[in-house]
Formats: sequence, structure tokens, C-alpha cells
Amino acid sequence: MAVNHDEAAALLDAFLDGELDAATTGLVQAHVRGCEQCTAALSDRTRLQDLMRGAPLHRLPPPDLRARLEAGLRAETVRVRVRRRWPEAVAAGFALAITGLLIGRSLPRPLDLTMELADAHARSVLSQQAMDVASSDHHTVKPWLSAHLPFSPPVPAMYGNDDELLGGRVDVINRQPVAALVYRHGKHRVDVFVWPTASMPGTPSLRSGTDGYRLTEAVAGEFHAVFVADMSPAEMDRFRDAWRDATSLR
Amino acid sequence: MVPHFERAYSLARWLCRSDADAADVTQEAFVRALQYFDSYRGGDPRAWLLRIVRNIALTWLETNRAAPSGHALDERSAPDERWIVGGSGAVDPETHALDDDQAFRLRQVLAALPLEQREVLVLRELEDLSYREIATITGRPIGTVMSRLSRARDELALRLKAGVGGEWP
Repeated sequence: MAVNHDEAAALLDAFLDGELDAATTGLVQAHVRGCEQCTAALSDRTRLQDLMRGAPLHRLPPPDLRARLEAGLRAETVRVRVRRRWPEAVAAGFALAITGLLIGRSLPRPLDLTMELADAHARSVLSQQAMDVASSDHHTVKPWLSAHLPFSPPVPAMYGNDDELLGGRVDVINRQPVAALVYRHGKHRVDVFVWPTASMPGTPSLRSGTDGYRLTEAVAGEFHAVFVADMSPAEMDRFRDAWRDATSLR
Repeated sequence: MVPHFERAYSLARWLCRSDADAADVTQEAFVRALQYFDSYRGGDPRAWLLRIVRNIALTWLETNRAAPSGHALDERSAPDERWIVGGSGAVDPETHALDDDQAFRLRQVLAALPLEQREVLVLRELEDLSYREIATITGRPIGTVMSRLSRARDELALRLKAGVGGEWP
């Protein structure tokens, strides 16, 4: 496989920013090496990037802004507390978290798998970038995923009345590439994260109800599947069972 | 580590192009962050906050479009210690150090770019955010982020070359 000049030229910025997967990076690199025009374009781009990153382009806030801001936030914390009748402790935690944002300390990062999966689902819902490949045809989705992943995940079509395959994308969970299949179940969006059991065995910390999303899991052959959606537990189970059945019918 | 407060202000300043407006936008963004805190679902708090800043800045720009532009672009190229180099890139300062005139000119050219191009350049090069994070912040698909960034770099390079101000490193 190779990329032609136009394809490589269109990918130069993503290449420079390290946004391409390993396979595509290799293809672009191979083309650039043999193409004078692309080599020159890439070196111009690199210089422009270095120029911006090394230049004084960050504007410092006026010296009194932080104090004004903190005063405003203290007043607002009280208002929020009154308006929502929150318990004292919750409001206090709230103010603490915002102070954390203010002074630049990160909030504790969720590191367990449940949170990561729920985050990945939330991110894709929020970003309107749910799919790298959008197709209800599993003959389109499966080859695409297989080409972009070190394994070939099961992609059942699910021709039920309520269920529909919408597409798929590659996500990174626990620093490992996984397949994320996107389905519609009734009015709900369901993400199914699939990876080989051998690469990331089990999900010991998996629990439901994080951040309003429910998670449930299934084993399909040599693969592990985790379902994330905003649905009732009964719906989650129904969808999971239908998905597993469709996988074994393949 | 640079606090989020300063990142928020810097983004607001690039979008609004005025210190007074950026201060108002930053203040409103933090109040809004407090009110919307239940919508925070984990992940990078900086990206979450910058998304709020960006939305408020754009609303601000919409509202004030009719007003006569009092864009307080710098009037002179004298050294200004409130413009600093960010810590995002591993750039050798010796190789790419700009003199005050060049830095001034670069800021002017960047400030004159169309909002959509300025925004994506600032988020990528100054905030060092990934395409996916930029897509989340701007509410655009990743493909749009990619093509917009590419056009923005073309335009920036073109305008820098076209301008006076001598050789660029």
C-alpha cells in the first residue's frame, strides 16, 4: 500500500501534529522521503510551528484580575448554594474544585477502566465525532476497523427493529487501541468497546452508574466487550444479549 | 505549571483582541464553570474550561459586532512584558528567538486572521491541544479541525511572507 502525492500533501499537517495512526504515518513518511515538494512543504510547516511555539504570544492577565475573579466566585458559590439548596458539604466541595481549576491543580484524574470507558463515550457524544467510519453496513465497518487495529473485532449488524449499526471508530483505553462500535438502540446511543481478552484481560473495576452512564460487559469468543449507554439496566441487558447472539450467528 | 486561569485569559484575549473584553469574558467563564460544574464529566479540566471560555467569547463577539470596533491592537512594538513565551513546545529558544519587532509583527498578523483560523491556531500551537480536544472545544468534526488548521497555516505563512518586517527564521 502507498499514498499518492495529493493524499500525502493533504495529510502533512496531521502528520506534523502527530495525529495520524502508525500505519498512515509510515505511508506519509515513505512518500515524503521520495518527494522534494513534500519535503520542502513539511520543513516550511515545521519552521512555522516552531516560530509560533517559541514566540511571545501568551498574554498575561492584568495583575488585579485574579483577585476580582476570586471575589466574584465566592459570591457566586453562596448564590449557587442557596439556589440549589445543596448540602453544605457538596457546596464546599464545589468551591474547592473550582479553586483547584483556578490555581491550576488538576482534579484527580479518573484512572480506572470504568471511568475511562464512560469518558470515551461522553467525549464521543459531546464532540459530534462519534465515528471514524459511519456506515450501517458491517461489511464496511469491520474491514475499516481491522485495517486500523492490530486485531479484527466482531461487528454484528443487528437487524432488529430497534437496533441499528451506525458505524465505528478507534479509541484508546488504558493506553491500548480498542474498537468502538456505535449503535442505535431505540432512541439511545450505545457504544460497544471491543478488545481481545488476551490484550487486556477482564475489567475488575467495572461497575455501573458512573456519571449517569451505565456499563455492562460480555465475552464473545476471544473478545471482551463493554457496553456504555444512558439506558435502564434492563435495556442494557437486552441490548447486550441481542448483540452477543448476533455475534455468534455471524 | 501555568495555571488554567492564565490559559483561559490568553484564549479570551486572542478571540476578543482586547484586554478589557478578555477580562470580562474570563470572569464570566469562571462563574459559568461554577454553575455548570455538574456537566463536568472528568477528563482534562483545562479543555473543559477552555470550551466555556470559547463559547462565552463567541457570544460576546456576536453581541458586540454592531458596536464600533475599538480593537486595542498594540499600537507600538515596544517590548511588553505581558506577552510571554508559552511552555508548550520543546523549542530551542536560541534557534528561533525573535526580536521585538518580529514578535510584534507576528502578533499583528495572527490577530488579523479570520476568527475561525485564529481560534484553531491558538488552540493547537499555543495551547498544544489535540485535534480531538479542539473538535470538542469548538463543536466541529475532527475533519473540519484538520482542514481549517491547514488553511490557517497557509494563510499565516502567506501573510508573514507578504508583509514587511524582514526575514523570518
